[in-house]
Amino acid sequence: MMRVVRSVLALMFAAFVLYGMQHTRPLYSRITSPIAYSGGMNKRVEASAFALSLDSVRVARVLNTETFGKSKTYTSSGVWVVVEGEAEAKFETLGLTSGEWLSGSGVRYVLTDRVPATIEMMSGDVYQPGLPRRVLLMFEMPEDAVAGGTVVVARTKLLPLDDEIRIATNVSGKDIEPAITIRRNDEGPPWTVLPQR
Amino acid sequence: MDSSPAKVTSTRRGYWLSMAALVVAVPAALAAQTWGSIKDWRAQHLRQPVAATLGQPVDYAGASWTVTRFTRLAGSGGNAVVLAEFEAVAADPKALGAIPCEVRLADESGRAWQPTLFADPVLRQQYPEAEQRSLCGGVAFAAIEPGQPARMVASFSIPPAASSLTLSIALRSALPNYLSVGEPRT
Repeated sequence: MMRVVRSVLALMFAAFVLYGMQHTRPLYSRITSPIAYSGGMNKRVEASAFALSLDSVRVARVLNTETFGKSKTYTSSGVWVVVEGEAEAKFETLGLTSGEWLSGSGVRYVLTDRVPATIEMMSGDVYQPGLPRRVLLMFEMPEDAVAGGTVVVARTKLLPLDDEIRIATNVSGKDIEPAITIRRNDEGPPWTVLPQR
Repeated sequence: MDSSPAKVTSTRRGYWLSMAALVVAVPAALAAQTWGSIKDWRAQHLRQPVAATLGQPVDYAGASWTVTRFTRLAGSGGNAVVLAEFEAVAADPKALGAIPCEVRLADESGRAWQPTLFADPVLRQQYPEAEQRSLCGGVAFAAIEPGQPARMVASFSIPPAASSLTLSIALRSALPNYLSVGEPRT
């Protein structure tokens, strides 16, 4: 009789443990999520494979581009956020193909694909070890997603457990310019954001 | 139910034999399952250099390879530019061209650079003929007859302070071996 009771108790205990494990199991996406390195504006944040610093965040209602003598205007029902900084690979040549704006409420906005490729955005460039390079990121988002946003940059969204740098911007969301222009340069820095500040 | 001593002994023996078989079978199954991954990891991470010097032909991956130029220039943006030219003579150029080829430059601290597709205008000004060459891979061997050299090029953008540079050429079929040429001393 005792043996039967012991067996039933062991079975119940095993079922309880399995139930607990099933319900506290982290999602696969969480287990393999990127390893985040965080920092603030105007500071070089070092991940294991690359480093990134951001020095300018500008918000505008209209975005103009000037490339090879051609001008184009991009309007939006929201606002444009233009971020500039510097990135550097640490040990091997790499690309930084993933850039996101993480709003204060947790909504993610990816880099815009409306701007022509003749404007060199971060995702189209190659980063060499020891050669820091200016980066440009442009996002389109609702006005209320700007305040307290965080820029998230990674080599790719597809590699599990890869580096991810998160830089908290100090943007209030109130300082919105009517329009800004990205001009492609033939020499020197690859672009200029106008009007200059 | 038969519970004679002979039957009990036989059952016990079977049990312990099964346990012993598991000790062998589980690692063997794991090894068989992951053998491909282990081979890939070894090819990627435990590479063996086949050393060569500038101008000296070396047999590698079924062809005779010669690095004909390995030179460093001052780049236009404060960086340094490295130009490497090399050629391969193969009995079957088409077969060699079908194998993925990886060229890279490394320094003594372990940093590694990939080719930059003649991005720096200094190269086009000083070595315009090099731009006509192909990168390592299928295009370089496409119109080559057996026994003719396939001429290839790679250029790199590196920091001026990078030292003790090594050019490496790796063909997938020959891994973990790769061709390794050190920067000539000037």
